[in-house]
Amino acid sequence: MRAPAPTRPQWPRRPVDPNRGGLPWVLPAVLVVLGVVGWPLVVAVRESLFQSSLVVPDDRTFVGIETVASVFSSSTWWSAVAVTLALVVVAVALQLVLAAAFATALRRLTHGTRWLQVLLLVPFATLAVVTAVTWRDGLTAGFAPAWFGYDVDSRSASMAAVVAAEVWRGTGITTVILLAGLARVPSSLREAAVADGATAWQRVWRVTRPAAAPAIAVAVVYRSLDALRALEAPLMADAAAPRTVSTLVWDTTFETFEVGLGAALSLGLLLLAVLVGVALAVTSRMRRTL
Amino acid sequence: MGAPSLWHSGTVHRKGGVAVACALVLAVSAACGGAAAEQDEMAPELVWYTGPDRVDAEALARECTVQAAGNYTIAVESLPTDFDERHAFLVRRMLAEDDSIDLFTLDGSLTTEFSAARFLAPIPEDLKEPFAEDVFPAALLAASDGQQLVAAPWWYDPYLLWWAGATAERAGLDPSGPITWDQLLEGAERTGATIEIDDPAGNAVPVVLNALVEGAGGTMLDGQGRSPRVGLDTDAGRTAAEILRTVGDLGAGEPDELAPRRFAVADATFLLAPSSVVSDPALVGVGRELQWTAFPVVDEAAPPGEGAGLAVPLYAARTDLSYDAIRCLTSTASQRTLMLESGHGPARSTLYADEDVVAAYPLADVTEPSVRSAVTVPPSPYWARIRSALLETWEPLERIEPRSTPQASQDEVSDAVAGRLP
Repeated sequence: MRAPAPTRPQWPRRPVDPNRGGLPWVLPAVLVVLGVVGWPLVVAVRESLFQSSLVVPDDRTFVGIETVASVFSSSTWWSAVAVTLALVVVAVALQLVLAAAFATALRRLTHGTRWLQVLLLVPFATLAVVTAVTWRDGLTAGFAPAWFGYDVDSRSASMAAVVAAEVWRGTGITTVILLAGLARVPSSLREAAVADGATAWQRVWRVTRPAAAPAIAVAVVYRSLDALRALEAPLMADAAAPRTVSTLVWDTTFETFEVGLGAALSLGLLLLAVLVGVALAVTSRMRRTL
Repeated sequence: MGAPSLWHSGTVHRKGGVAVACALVLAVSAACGGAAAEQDEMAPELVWYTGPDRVDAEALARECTVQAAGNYTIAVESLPTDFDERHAFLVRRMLAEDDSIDLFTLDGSLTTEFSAARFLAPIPEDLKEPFAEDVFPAALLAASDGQQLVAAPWWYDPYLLWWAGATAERAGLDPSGPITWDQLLEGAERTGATIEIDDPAGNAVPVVLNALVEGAGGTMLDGQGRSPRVGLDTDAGRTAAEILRTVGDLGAGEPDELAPRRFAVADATFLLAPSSVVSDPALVGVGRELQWTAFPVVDEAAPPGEGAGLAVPLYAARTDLSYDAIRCLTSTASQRTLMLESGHGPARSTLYADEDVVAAYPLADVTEPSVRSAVTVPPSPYWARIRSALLETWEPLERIEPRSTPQASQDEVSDAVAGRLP
């Protein structure tokens, strides 16, 4: 007698519900994100409710939202916000103009484009603190004062160094993003514009800009948020330079060791980043519908 | 094959040579390694972080290593000169429970903070009395947290008034008696002299300001908690502001560690500096022209003073050895060396009773009474931020507004202590 051949069990086939099936698969990632982003946020919120100093362990008092409220009523905070936003606007505008020029030039090149694209990313791969120190020393003590004959102690030299470090660091990556945007502009569109007798300015503004708009929007949002949280250059700047929000957070937490206030300030910085992000998203969407 | 090449013929010797060299290297490295290991076992190395001051710490460490007779050796490391960097460096190390610092020099103004933060290993019972014995009250205060001694008092420098040659006489001052601020400022204005302030450790302006307020009958800060009584927005604070503003208007450089250098090259300059400036290399050029007297008086004698103590971190590996090293470094003999070679004021008053010492220390007749009346900054665990707030509001000196600066500074100090943004 022969044993009956084992039959393969028949698993019931469940119909795939496109709205349900994914959750178990993304759950680990969601948990990791919650752990990495959510937990520090919870700790920051909790710490901001206490008045506490890292160096005086006995000194920890619950004060509720008093610290957070005091931040928003402080002139130091608002002047730091103003300085930070000014840095963002100036640095991002300069990066966009320079990167647009670089990207246009690169599109015209026929040889070595790949190498140049890699070279463009070198500043971005350099340690930010090295960039910051180099520009600071160059503009406040090194070549620049000697060439242009200005006062090395001036506040504006320190601020220019901060902007220069940020621009130097971000222009390459912005160029690469804009190049991708330019590649999206079909050459037929440009040729048609030429055939229709559009001027050079019209071709840039009416044809290239709208077609490359998504890439420009990405570049603006990315560089703005990066400039917003820039720490190295403002931190390395001479004491005379005005303080940005990130340096205020640093000074409070790691120089004064006032943890509660530091947590409140970093929540403020987070709120600022969210506001800037939302504002940019809304304006870029508006621009795209125009 | 023709004549044997040198290379070939040399092979044997070369091999032999290599063997000999190897043997030698092995023997030497074994000997060295052995000796080092032996020394490690016998004498642990204590790392002493010190400065900024004018003490020859290396020489002192060598002397105490000899006295330890093989129990330990003392290695010297430097602390950052900048006050904020020094504070952040030490606090971060202590918070991280770093055990690589065996003993360190603690600014008198930071003693209370380090004690409140529980960064310091308690002083052994049997050393409490020897550490405090015959110590000047001001030096004792600088090494205490307001209640008890937490570091070993080491040096205590009163600020003095210095000048070269006949600058004081030309300004109409009589250095044989106490000089008042009114006389000094009036004389300096008339003769076009400037007044430099030496700041070797980054604390000078707050220390001087505190003493001026005290000398004018006020109290700059009272209370160790989050809401101390700040006495800047007072008549005494405004008097101090007027004095410092006039000093700024006289046109000297900002108070810093280069002041002695500027003093040495300028024609008519007064210098406010701690006693140890006498050993500053910048003053070599002034030589025998150098003159000094007690710090100018506002209403009552209250010269500013700064002290340093030696302390042991709570997480130091061998606190008993660290404290033994401190006992040696702060001994009367060590303080005598410190006094005679660096000009720092000793914390122990017995040195002024030693006639040989007094004869070899020309500052003695001025420094001794100065230390007795000296004013140390008030004990507060928040001194580092009080100092920052004071520097932010009182520097540069020529921008002080006697009417508004004391009040603005009072608010900023209160905010800083309370942990609010200004």
